[in-house]
Amino acid sequence: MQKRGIYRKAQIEHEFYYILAQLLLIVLVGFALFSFVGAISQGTLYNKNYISRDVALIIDTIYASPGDIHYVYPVDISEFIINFKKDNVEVYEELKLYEKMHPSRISYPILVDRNIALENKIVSPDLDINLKYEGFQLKIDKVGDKLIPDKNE
Amino acid sequence: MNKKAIISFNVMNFIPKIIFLVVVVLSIVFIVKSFVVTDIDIRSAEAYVLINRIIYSPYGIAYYDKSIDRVYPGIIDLANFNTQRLEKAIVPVEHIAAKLSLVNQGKRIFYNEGTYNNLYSMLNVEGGSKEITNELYVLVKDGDKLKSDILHMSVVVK
Repeated sequence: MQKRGIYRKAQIEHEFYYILAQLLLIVLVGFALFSFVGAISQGTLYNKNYISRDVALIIDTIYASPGDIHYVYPVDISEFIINFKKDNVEVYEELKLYEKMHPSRISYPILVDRNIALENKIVSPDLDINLKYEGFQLKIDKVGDKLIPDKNE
Repeated sequence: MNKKAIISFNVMNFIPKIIFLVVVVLSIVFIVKSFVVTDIDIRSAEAYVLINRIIYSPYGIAYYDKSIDRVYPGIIDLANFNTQRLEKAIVPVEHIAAKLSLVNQGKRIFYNEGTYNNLYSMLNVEGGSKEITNELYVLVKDGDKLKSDILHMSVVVK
């Protein structure tokens, strides 16, 4: 009889650890899946790709205008830093990444106009008191034979 | 059943559960990844921007009156219709090139001729280049004369 009692206790214990192991597996898999989906949703690769191409095309279009133009890019790009280089547009996420030439930067070439000078400039948002990036818009001015990108104040 | 048999039974029972779990996790990963867009194809837009730039820019092929700083859209200045003018205006790049022809005049010019020929040969290759064509009815200014013509444009983008 005693033997049966010990056996039953051992069986319950075994069942308990078995269920506990399954619960642990569920928690681990659930955590991994949520992290994966969260990483995908917060990913900025597509945004950087889109912005670099869009801004490059806008520069190409503004080059063609016969007169002066004042253009404000309608999308809020406060998370990113845009570097207008001689022959391409580069988009970064943070200034320190740019400084370290991080491979997460995305660039797209511009069709450079020999008659119009594009000002080489880095346009970036300011940090507020809470160390978060303030919203800002990009503006591009064509004045005479110069193309000047800047923040729209 | 003895203890060993119970353990074996539970382990055997666990194997299909693991297989099912793996299938579900992989399905979720596959579905999420299938909605993630990684490629943005702007070749058509880029081609039309280049065409408009060549046609309407004061440094392109359009008739441009310096005295009043005005470009006449739809009027091609025959004196500007040459390859050197285009390459003097726009720095050649590796991924885009154009060919323009005036049908009645029988004239043809290129922006980035070498690249145009290379990219044109890659048209039917998978992952190769794309050709965008367009035709416009234009007026051609030859000195003081205006003649009607058709401007055929072909842009190849990598």
